Amino acid sequence: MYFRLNPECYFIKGMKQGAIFDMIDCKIYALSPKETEILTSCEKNKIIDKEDDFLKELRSRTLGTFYQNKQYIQKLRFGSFIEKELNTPPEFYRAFLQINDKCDKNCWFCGYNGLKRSLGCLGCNKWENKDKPLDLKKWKEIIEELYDLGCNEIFFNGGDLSINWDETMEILEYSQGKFINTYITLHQHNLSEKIIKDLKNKTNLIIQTEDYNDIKFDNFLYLYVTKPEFLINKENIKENVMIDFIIEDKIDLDNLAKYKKDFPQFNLQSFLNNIEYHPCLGHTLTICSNGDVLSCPMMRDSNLGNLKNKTLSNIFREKFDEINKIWKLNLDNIEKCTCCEFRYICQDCRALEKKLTGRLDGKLLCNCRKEKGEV
Amino acid sequence: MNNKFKRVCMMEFETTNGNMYMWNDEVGIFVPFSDTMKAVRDEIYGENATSLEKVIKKLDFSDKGEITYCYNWLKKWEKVKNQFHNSQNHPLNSMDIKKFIRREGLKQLTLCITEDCNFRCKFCIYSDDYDYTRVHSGRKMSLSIAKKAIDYYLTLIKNNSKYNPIRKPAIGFYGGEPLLNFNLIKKCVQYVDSNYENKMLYALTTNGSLLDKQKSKWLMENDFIISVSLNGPENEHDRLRVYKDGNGSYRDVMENIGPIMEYGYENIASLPVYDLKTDLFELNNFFNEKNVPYVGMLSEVSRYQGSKYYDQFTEEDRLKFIEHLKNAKKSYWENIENRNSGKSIFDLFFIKPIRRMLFEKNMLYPQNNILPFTSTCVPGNKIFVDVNGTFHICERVSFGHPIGNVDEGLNFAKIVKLIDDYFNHMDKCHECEIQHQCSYCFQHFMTKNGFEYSSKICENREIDMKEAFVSILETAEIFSEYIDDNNYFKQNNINKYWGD
Repeated sequence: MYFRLNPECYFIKGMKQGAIFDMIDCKIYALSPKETEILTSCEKNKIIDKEDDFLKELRSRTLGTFYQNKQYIQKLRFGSFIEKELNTPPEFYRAFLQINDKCDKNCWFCGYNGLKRSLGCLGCNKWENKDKPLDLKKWKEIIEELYDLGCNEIFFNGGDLSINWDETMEILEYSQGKFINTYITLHQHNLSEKIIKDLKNKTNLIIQTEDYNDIKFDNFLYLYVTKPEFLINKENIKENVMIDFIIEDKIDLDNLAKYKKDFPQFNLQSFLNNIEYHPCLGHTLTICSNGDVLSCPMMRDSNLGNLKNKTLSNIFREKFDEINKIWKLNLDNIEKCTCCEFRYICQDCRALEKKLTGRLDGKLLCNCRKEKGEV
Repeated sequence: MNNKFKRVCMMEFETTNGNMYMWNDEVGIFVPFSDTMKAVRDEIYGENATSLEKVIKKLDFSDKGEITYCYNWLKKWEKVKNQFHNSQNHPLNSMDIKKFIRREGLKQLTLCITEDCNFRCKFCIYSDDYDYTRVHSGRKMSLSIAKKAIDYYLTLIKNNSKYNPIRKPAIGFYGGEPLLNFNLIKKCVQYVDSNYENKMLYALTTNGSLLDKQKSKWLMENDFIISVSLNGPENEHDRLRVYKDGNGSYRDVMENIGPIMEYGYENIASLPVYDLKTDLFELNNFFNEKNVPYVGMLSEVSRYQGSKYYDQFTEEDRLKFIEHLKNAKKSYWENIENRNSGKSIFDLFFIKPIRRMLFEKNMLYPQNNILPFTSTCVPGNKIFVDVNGTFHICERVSFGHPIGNVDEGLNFAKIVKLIDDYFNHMDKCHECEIQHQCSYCFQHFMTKNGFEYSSKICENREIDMKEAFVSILETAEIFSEYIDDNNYFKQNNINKYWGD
């Protein structure tokens, strides 16, 4: 008798343990080392014991079933595994446009102060920048370029984008109808009724705040900055709130669990994407207010060129190998993650990890010790 | 049976190993199947949709646990539909095509620089055996036409680089025998070097008989990808590839290839074709030799374009070849452990179709957004220029369907009309059970000036494909790990830590 997982179930092994990922119900089943061993044998088409309780359990959960003969199971996927290799355009889907660096506030969590946040890329940060910023005309040209390149998700952030609100609005309006999703990040204190009215039906508003009491609206996204120890009732956080953890310079290695977030939701598309690409860096570029093109908003040293004297197309032509190398830094390339069975559904911030470990492939912010078989 | 049933449950088949599968064309996947699954499916999607309890009661001859599993899985599988992506709506307009071509197209400009050839290959699509293609002539492309074509193509590449900045322009030289117009090749390359900054990819398809040391040296210096129509060992090559006077060409071709191989030039490939008289074992041994260029593409002599080529063969020939192919397959799989990696022509016979069927065909998406049926390219994806400067879809498609010319460029209105016409002739595709596995393209349906209906061309296609499905799945059952290793794209990551 043989047992095989169904076409919709992927079995991914870590160094010691494995997990089953159900691509239809989008559920994860973490397995013990013993269960991993049994399932490995099954997936290699080896003869098994039909009375095994674990396999019966998998069958009762409609994850796999028994067969009389050796069976070939084709796995469910999305698209083709080779089609995109044929001289197709770069798969550039997401851009951060930091349309200014300026802010007259001095928030304690600002990147300017050297503090590190888990979602700093989505929030506002002022940056030291002596270069002349790009003008409105150039931003419009960049938006045209992004549209032509097939980019479909844009995050506008600063700085304080309310400082030169008319220009911000002109850029936002110029982007209308060109992309599938656009977002703008503004600090809670910079919002006004006029701004909220101006943004209505034009873009998605992300409000940065450090005070949970500021979270009043259900129709906006909030980016709530907090230290992990202040977050008591994690379960009660509203659905429209993203938690932006402060990461201290010195991490208590025995207490990493406090940073731990739940695994993000996954689906077939994101799972297959993460087998090849980094879950965050993949398909993404950042354009700074001075025209610098970065691979990540928070990796300020990842400069790929400047748009004052080049186009994005030029940068892709000249630096595509470099860009692709960063995009394809999937978690198989990251220490620790490489031996973890959850590597294709997990989140990862390379900017933070690089700052904390000094290495592009380093990993500190995870309390799993997969290489030792620990969770 | 309602419509849902028809679309969810497609072609069923059984391998000789005793396993049942269902080809689910809506998703594009083979799924394991069983008699119980079939009975449960019939109950669920029959006229009166029913609950698990009722199904169990009705199918009391079967194991309750098995019925429960099948019921739950079929219900679960229905949810796959939520992940579907829709295809482009028809009818199309010129903008849809322009948008597609400026991003995804313009992959290659192929210049047919002469219709003349010093060979008269027995299977040539430009021979009298093919009703819908041109015939040999002494006509050559002029430098002026070549320049116009190059200018048009490279200007398109430049103007559309904002949509695809990493596209590498490629120019192919084709014939007839293109080396009969070698000076034009040289002039074209000089023209590009003097007028454009693009890093070009050059390709040449030649019969190899005129590939002397001087020409070879120049082609290698310019990094040409050289495709030689080398057809196998001497007896096989000379059976099919002969000079105008009927004499074999093997010795001349091999003499010319020798220095290129000795030099260690890697961008040279063989393009053999085979027919019912080909000895596959001899072919395989020949292409395993060190001094022979690797096989870039292996093709069966074309059965399309109004072909009469196969009229010469008897039913006995056909059956004999099928038996021969079976023996070759048996031998290949019996010796798979000792396979000489990357060199066996049998890989192209026996692994490539499996890889194509299991890993390369789209799932959930339609095969192509613009042309949801068959695997055909969108015209303009490549531009084939004949000696007069007229643009055609590709070198394999009849010239009765031009898509522009060097003076006026691509005619998008014509392309739209061509696609719509094609689409309208795909009358069987809507109900076809193997849409996601279709490998047909324009060449299979084109006549001199129009298209055949797919209901005519594909009359027995599903039956043939069912046979192919059985063959591929029963091989995959036995050699599953080897087959999965050929899913080279992502499998290495997925299969980490699978070692014993």
